[in-house]
Amino acid sequence: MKFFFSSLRSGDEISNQFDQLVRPHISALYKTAYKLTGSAHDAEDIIQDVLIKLYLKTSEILAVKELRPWLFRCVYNQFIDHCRKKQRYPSTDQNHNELAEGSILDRLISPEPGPQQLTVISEQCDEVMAALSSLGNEQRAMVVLHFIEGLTLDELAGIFNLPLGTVKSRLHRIKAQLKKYLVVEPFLLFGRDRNGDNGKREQG
Amino acid sequence: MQCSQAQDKLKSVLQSDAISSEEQELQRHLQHCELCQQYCSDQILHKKLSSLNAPEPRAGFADRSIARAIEQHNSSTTPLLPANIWVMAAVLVLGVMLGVFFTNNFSLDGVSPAAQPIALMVNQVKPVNIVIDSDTYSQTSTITLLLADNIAIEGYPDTNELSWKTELHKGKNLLILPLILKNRSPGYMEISYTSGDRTHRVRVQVSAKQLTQPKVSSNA
Repeated sequence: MKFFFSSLRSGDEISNQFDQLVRPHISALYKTAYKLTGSAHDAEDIIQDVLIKLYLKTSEILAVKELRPWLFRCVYNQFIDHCRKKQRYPSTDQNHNELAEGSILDRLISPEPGPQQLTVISEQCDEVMAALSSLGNEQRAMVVLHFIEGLTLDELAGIFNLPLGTVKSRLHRIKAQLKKYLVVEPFLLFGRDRNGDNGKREQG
Repeated sequence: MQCSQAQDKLKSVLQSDAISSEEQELQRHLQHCELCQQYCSDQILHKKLSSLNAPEPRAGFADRSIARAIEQHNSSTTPLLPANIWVMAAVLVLGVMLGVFFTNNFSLDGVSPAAQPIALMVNQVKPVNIVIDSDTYSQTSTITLLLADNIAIEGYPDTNELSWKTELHKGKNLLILPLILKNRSPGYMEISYTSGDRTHRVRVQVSAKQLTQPKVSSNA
């Protein structure tokens, strides 16, 4: 019966263990949620809900071999849940939405670059966010998790519960769609912006 | 210019702000090479996507969110069962649904009417979380587990009744039972613990998890 005794732990022990397990990941998970939603408020809501659901699963988290993709899956699930709730109960708080959306660029910009670089980065972020918003929720999550967060195709297949081949074909379609927004014809690249902005900004 | 040379050059061109005379050659290559055009557009797309930054969470967010998660759980005397449980991934649903709570608020020798049924995959070990919320410390509490014939604890394949003594802390105590459902027939497990002259008991219905088709756009 020793097995069972060893599994019995007090509430404080569970809380401490939970804290140690999830704390190192909170910042990364928040940033992912932010890239999915484009809103600090929504990102906070998603991560808070994920943590509440995860608390009772502390023992299960301990047994997870690859915690990072496992946690991303939790965030993705909560993101979808969040989107469904928003569809069912659209927010009437216009001020809140405007505040969140108006602050996207400010928050996306890293404080390090100088003013000119800052403008370019903010425009790029704006452009990328606009392109992402043209995608469906699942597609957007695939882009963020694979192209931005660097999850492998196998990890993506696990998260989205899809065969590997389906993941590849969907990513292929998503890439084609994103290129319409973000990429100019490559042979027009020279003499124009190196980021493929089709001459929106003149080369220095 | 070969494609491999062109693609190597493209990488450096996209990373650099300088324009060199070699780029004319590269440009000519791109104009007639679809493979390198594709490669180039992929590189540009990846570069743009990787430029997307996100801010750090607000100061104290990690502290607040962890504290709130713990607080929500500790202030609840019922399992954490969100109304929208169906949207969780299968493994999460199982984990949350398998949360069984005892509290000292149960009547003596009473069976909790609020015990949630649980669903298990047949012949797969699944840890079941049982939380015993005790309002006192008990050095020798007796825990008894009764299992239907088609349910077993990993490592005890032919045992349907287990009983042992353990120490219970004040507050929430977590007991993890690795359960196995042997066939698709419905079963049950009954857990009781005795502390002093008080016995608390909960009976949980166990069924086989229904297999569902993968959902294309859901988070299941």
